[in-house]
Amino acid sequence: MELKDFTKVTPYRWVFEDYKDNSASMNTSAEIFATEDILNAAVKDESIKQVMNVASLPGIVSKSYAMPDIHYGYGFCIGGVAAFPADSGIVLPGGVGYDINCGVRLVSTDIPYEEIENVRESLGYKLLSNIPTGLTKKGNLILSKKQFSRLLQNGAEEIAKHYANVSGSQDELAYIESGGKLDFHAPEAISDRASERGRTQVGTLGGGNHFIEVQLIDEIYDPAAAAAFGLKKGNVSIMIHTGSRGFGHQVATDFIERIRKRNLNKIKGHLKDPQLIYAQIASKEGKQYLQALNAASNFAWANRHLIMDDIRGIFEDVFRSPFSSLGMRLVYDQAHNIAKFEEHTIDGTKQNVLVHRKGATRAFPPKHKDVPGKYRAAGQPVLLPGSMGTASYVLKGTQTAMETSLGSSAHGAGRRLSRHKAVKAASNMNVRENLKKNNILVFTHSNKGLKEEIPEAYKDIDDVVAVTEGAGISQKVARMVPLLVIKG
Amino acid sequence: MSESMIETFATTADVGVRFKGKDYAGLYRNAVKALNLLYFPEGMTPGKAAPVKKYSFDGDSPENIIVNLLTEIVFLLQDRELLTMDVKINTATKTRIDTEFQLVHCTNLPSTEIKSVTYHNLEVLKKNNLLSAEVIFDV
Repeated sequence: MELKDFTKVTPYRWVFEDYKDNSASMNTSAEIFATEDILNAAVKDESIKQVMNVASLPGIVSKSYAMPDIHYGYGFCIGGVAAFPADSGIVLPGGVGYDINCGVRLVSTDIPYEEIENVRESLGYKLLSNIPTGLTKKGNLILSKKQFSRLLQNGAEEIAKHYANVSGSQDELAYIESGGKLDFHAPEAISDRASERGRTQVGTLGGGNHFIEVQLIDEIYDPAAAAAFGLKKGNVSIMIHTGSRGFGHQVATDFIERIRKRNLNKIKGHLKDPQLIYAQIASKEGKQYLQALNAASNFAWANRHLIMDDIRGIFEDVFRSPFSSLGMRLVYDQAHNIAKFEEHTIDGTKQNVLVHRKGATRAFPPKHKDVPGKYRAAGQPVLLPGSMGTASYVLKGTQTAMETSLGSSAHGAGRRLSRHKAVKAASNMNVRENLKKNNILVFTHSNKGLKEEIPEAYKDIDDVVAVTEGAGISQKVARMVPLLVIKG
Repeated sequence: MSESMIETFATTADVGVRFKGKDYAGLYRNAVKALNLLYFPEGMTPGKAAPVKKYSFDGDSPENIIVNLLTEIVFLLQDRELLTMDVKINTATKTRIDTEFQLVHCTNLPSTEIKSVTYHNLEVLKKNNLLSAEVIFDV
């Protein structure tokens, strides 16, 4: 496969219909938002093949999409988006990922950079000491079975009502995608093991590329949208990246097994990748998976809400001021590994579809009913974290996204180097010192983990942002640079 | 045991293990050893012994057995802090495993957190009278 096999719709949109002999057996075309360089890399690492495999799934509507942070995943590429009819289509756990509702939350503050400079080190130590990170099995909150069951039903609201020390307002739940809660009414869909893992992990960050980042808002590109989102140049913001922890992974593992047991023999003849195993949405397994997915999504929102609450408490302690006086406001929380029922206009017809986004975000436009009221004039915030040493961005969703990418955009920088290669590249590097030279303090329990996450291991976030803007699927609002990073 | 029967590797976003065995018993046992090599490349430091755990699984294929076996090992380490030093295989076929995990309490948790064991690219192959397989882990 080469670049010339693609039709260049614009410098940032490329389409692959199929080979001349239809050997890819695609039911729809593959559409990739990318520069030439990004596309070449995707051809090389075979993530394009994964986009094509998804395009060959039965009943797929619209296109098989890939965002500019595309890279190789399991079955579905990272950055993949695909939809199926809500009433008659399929659902695939591989189109969501193991870390269900892994996502990002952004909190703005009224704290100017000058006030954080003197307390950065103390803040870093307190955040690392008080928020469970890395390979820990227990959080600070251990729930009974009954409490956990309510948390799975109520998501972030359960934290706000019953467990938050300072973040008790339910008004801010409106700034979480889906209000931080999807319908869950099928406890039988959740295995005992999943519950056992989840009950002790609420409020934990996890490891790998999960992080808490204290940032400086250093550029505003869209003053009106930034004002609506509460972002002010020169002020501090906080970004949290984590997901559904062991609970979500267990749910995904459980259902890949269940769906496999039920369906593999029926479909393996035309299944291009075992990780694309699927169930009919209307089947027992399909319905149960979607319920379990909702439960895991609710867990992840609860998780991020409790972590935010802990962060607010730590800031109150360091600044000796209530978090509300520090202006610590939830800007937005969005998922980047999820499947949700949405209404989209496809080929001129409004359809209810199940949209799978794996390493991709929702990017709804201005006036959309699912965008919080205060943001409706601007559009939905789209949060794009960079790597440890680089900028992160807030963008806004657009009508073009609704029309050309199933209302979707990218989710971050995407890895470029394997963990092993990153550790090798960093072998003679003093990663902490290098970051410190760029005014970034990093705190972690794992030095190996730190080397795995060096900025050089990731693609350039500016390239990803340039593509999303160039393709019109989201538009820049603000840029943040890291001051302090807590690595999981 | 020959180290070439087990090895670890890394893909762009994840990590994996390759392992071989003369038969299914050897293959499954080396799958566990390969996972331990991934977790503890410098070697394992056994803690206090824990009760042996019996584990049986009926699967649809050796790939199915491998994923479920390793998923159990990951769970024991990461959620119960129990390290599987070795496995005594009583039955090992294409579709069934009966085993006993020799467990110890883990004194030092590994820095790598495995989120899940995937089926990605997993296919048990036979070549030169050896069974072989490759498993990728979501980290």
